[in-house]
Amino acid sequence: MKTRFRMRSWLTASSLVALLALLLSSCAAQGTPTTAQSTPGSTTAQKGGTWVDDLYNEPDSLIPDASVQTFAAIVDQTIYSSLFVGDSAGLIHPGLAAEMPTTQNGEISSDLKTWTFKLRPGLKWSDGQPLNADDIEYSWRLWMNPAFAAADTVAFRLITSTDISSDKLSITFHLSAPYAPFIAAWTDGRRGPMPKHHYATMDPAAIKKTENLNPQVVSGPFMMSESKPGDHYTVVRNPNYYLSAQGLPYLDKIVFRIVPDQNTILKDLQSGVADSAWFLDVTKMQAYQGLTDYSIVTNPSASYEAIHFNGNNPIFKDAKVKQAIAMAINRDELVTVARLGQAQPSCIDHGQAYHPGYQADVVCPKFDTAAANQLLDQDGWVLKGGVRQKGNQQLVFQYATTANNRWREKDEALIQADLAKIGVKLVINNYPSSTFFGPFLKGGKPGNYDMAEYASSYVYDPDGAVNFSCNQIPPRGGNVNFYCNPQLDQLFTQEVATSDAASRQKVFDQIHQVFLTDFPVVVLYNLIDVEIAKKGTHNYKPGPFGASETVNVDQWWCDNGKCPHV
Amino acid sequence: MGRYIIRRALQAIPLLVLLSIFMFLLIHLLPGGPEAVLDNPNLDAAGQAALRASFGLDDPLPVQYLKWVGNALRGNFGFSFATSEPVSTVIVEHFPATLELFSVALLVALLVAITIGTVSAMRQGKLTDYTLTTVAYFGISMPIFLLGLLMQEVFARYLQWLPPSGISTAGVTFDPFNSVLDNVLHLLMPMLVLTLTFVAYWSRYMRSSMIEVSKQDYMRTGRAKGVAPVPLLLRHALRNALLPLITVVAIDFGSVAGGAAITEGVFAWPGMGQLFLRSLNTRDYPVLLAILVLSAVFVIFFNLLADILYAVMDPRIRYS
Repeated sequence: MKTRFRMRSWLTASSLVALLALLLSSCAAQGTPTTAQSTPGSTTAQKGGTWVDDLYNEPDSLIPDASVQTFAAIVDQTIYSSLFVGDSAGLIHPGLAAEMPTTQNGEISSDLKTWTFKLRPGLKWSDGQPLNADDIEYSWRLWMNPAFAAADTVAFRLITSTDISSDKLSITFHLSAPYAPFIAAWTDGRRGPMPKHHYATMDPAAIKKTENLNPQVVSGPFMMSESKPGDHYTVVRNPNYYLSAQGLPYLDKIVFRIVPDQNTILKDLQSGVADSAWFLDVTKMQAYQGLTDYSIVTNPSASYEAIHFNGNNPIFKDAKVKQAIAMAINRDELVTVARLGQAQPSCIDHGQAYHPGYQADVVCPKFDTAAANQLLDQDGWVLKGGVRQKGNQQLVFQYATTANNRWREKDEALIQADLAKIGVKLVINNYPSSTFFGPFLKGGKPGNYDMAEYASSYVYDPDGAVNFSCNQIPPRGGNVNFYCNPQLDQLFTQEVATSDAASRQKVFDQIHQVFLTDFPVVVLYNLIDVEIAKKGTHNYKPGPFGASETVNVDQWWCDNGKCPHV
Repeated sequence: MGRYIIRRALQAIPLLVLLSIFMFLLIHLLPGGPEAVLDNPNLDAAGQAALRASFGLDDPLPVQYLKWVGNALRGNFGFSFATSEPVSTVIVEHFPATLELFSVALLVALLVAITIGTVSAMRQGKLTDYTLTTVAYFGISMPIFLLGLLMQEVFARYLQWLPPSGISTAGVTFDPFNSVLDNVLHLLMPMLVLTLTFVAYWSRYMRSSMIEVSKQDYMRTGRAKGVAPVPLLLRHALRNALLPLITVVAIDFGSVAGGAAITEGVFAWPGMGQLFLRSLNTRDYPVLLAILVLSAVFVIFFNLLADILYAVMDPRIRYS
């Protein structure tokens, strides 16, 4: 009797718990609805809706030029308008500027040292205050203020003086040297001007400490509504956006959810709770292809994946060793196996997104293990016990990349096997990103850092001086190849001194030749970014540079003005 | 008891000082420390100097430590290298989420573990005991991330009963009741993962402890005198059997400051675990240091709490 009573009690209790769980789960919380029916796509943009986007990394700042992080640029693009904007093809157009400055219209001097930017009339900040040339002037001076500690001041260091017109609708910059990339330095929200009337009274050192992740006065298609670091950032339509008269932006709201795990992003997509996600894990391509209510968007990015040689290792003074390495690597296999087809084999640092920059007729080193072996034989490297030696030097190198990256691990394994066939032994050690891009690369210690694999890119302008110039070797700059070639430096000086695309292309072609004879790096391929958007969303077209995912965020829209996330 | 508490509190101070010195030195002296993190090649010499000064790195190390301690005692842990926000603000932004997750998970886990452990002990050697033991070992050996992913697969993807990640539904404004309900729905899966993990371990402790207690003379006396099993269990055995579990639970709860990194990562739960991992990956040393010190404070505090609870639960234990 007592046993049956106890059994019945347990069964009753278990049933009650199960019932409670079912009731709770069936009670979806009721709020202002955001779901949308799945309708056939309309071609006419419709206003309204809340778009939910999963971000893989948390932005570290939402103040212009306070960060070089791509995910910060993505959110910046939604809240700041810039003088110039990029499009999905990587081309630059006027934004806040009334027109593109050119040498033809006289807004760029022929010596590229004087640049005039004309603003559209009637521009406003989100608080209704006028946006004019005073804000541009304030912004670059703030970025150059050591107390503000801007992330990138390369272009602004060249400014010697400025002139502002009496109507405050144009500003003229006088540079100390010709600099073709000057327009690129003002492109996209990450370089949007900052409101002088809001920040001028603040201590520059205090700006990032107070509004870093919640800037209050902005100029973009959206403005901050909610800032929950670690969880999400919500932006809502800015009624004072300069294109609001054209009905932009279409969306009411965008929610950027921070989801720092690719597996969790996949679960979000499989559950349908996100409308889009950028920078997806290429190793999960099959899973993404199985999401029938999403469309995968692939976009050749500006990034090039390369093996970087540490110039401090004396062996790499010998270009023939690097050339043999370039010839021994099967790029097609890397693209197929490691990137699952989401890359384009390449041997130069300028992919198809660069105009100028991209060289369609470049002759890349042919994959030829036998020829690579012959080259090393002729160079005096003798094969002993599977490893080549010359005197007391051996072709044994430490090879590193960022840790916890599945496709790079596959890359390493394939490259290690390829190079073993020519007597080059790789010892692989990987590091977390912050260590890899920090003390590891910048330390430049041979025997610790010999060869490193990672992706690089230039933003809009193809100038690569910051990565390869002699005066950019750490601690002064970002030339972590520790490579110095005066001929290359001269070519960089030439290409920034002309705005004529054809002339610049000729110089870039010569730069590519230096790359393919002296091999500061061995470029493997150009990455293809993988992103995804739910059916029922429109105009999701990430670009190859800069703000990437949100480059045309003011044109995103959803069927019936309701975005389809669950 | 009062003197004991004061003595333990005073003993904790030199321990915390030593721990803070050790952590401070560890962070500042290892290669790739704060100096390396703030190194920005785009700044000229003046800019670099200003940046170092803004984070207090231009003082000698002992001075930096003393300033840091003085500020920390006032709740000021400096500024994040990654976001430039005050570290205290960053922690306040993330701690409530972890506190919510931990509190609910620990409470549920405690109730379930006590129940399971007791039932298992009372049914020692029987099918019920074997079943519960098997489930417990499954819970102990199951990796947390795998359990989390499986739950997302089942409950979020296939059944669509629960949201897969986050702490709330994005982009929706709820009234207070539905806001709580929405939060509960998001909390369920990460809470269950943590609960199952704790239950697996704690139920084993409870079982062993209950078996030990049930063999005591006073229990045999109680049964001989005809006390019913349930009152005997609840009034006499349970209290004594709980004593070892208190220490384990207190230590586990003391880890709340560090968060449940894996669980929070799988479910994108914006708590201290996520903050710790992110700070580790970005070498955000001020935040890391603050989390480590807070963790030490919590562990010491909850250990003391465990000892006090011990004395409250067992009148035989007296501290002086």
